[in-house]
Amino acid sequence: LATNPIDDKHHVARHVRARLVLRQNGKAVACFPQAFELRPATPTREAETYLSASWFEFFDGDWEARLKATLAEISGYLSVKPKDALAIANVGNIKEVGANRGAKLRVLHEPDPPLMPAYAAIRGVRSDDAELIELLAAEAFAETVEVSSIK
Amino acid sequence: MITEFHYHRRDKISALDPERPLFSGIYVPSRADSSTARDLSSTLEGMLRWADTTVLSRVGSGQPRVQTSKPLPERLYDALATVKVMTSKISMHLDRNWRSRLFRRLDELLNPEEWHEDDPILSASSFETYLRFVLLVRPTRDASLGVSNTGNLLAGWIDGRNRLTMELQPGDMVRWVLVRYVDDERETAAAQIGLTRLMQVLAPYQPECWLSLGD
Repeated sequence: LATNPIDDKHHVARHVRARLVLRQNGKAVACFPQAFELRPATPTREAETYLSASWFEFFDGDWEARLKATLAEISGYLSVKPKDALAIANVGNIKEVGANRGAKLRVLHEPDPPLMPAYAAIRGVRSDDAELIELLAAEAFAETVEVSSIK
Repeated sequence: MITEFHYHRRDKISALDPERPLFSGIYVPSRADSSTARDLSSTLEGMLRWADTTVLSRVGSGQPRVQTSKPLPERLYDALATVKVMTSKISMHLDRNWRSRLFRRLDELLNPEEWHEDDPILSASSFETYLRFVLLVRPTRDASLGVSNTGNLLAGWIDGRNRLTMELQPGDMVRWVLVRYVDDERETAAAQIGLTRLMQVLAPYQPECWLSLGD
């Protein structure tokens, strides 16, 4: 299927495991930058070349309905635990953070139905730029929602 | 079945001997007099030797040793027990409430029900670096704790828009990154350095806002 750039005004959500979620008084408030690093190859998995996400506005409805639909889709192809989180970023902010660090980040809708119709990829991330990764965590993915709180 | 990847053992075992530098140019604090320091040294050495022979995921050159003979809950329990015992052995230098809160956060972090089967187990030698950080820096504000993709302990603090996160690496190394707003101007910085220089390098960013340093 064709891949298309996602509108700057739209959002993407990324699944973040509980061990990479920053908490204050037990509440998920942000993510460690390591949640946005490209993972190296392992004996069972190839090295990542882009960050996986889901296009939030692919789904209809209000913010809550989209959260729920996004989680439902991700749960269909990934193992998701209650203390895991969805980190949500505005696409324009992702690109701006990249531009500030001299990186041309592209956020693309790369659907793979039937399981992943909203699948998105963030391409152009350089894992060796720790400040870029931190800015993605601190500034771009500004909202973190614990899975257990999505009803 | 046991799967074992290449793994480089540490060259040295830590020592907290007051007659030897804790790190280059830094000695055990005066409150840890020689007998206490020797106890500490002996305890940490024993713990590390024990951890080296225990089923723990360890990070040497970035490649974890994975032993899959035990089920995940058991491996997490082992890791949790190891780091708690390591902490308890130096408890005389830690505030009791602080230690209780640390244990609670470790319990929450290493919860088998929240752990993914392919997640790395916390590295004991990374946790050792964290304990040294605590003894040296004496932060009074609790860190949010995590585990990196290579099994290293992560510590993070958020103060408004200001963030500091660290990856505690084996061998007293710290990889840190921060975002700091000064007069509404954003500054970012990152480095990988030895623990001894950490506070010196962070000083211009006024790390008190994150760490609330003790005495």
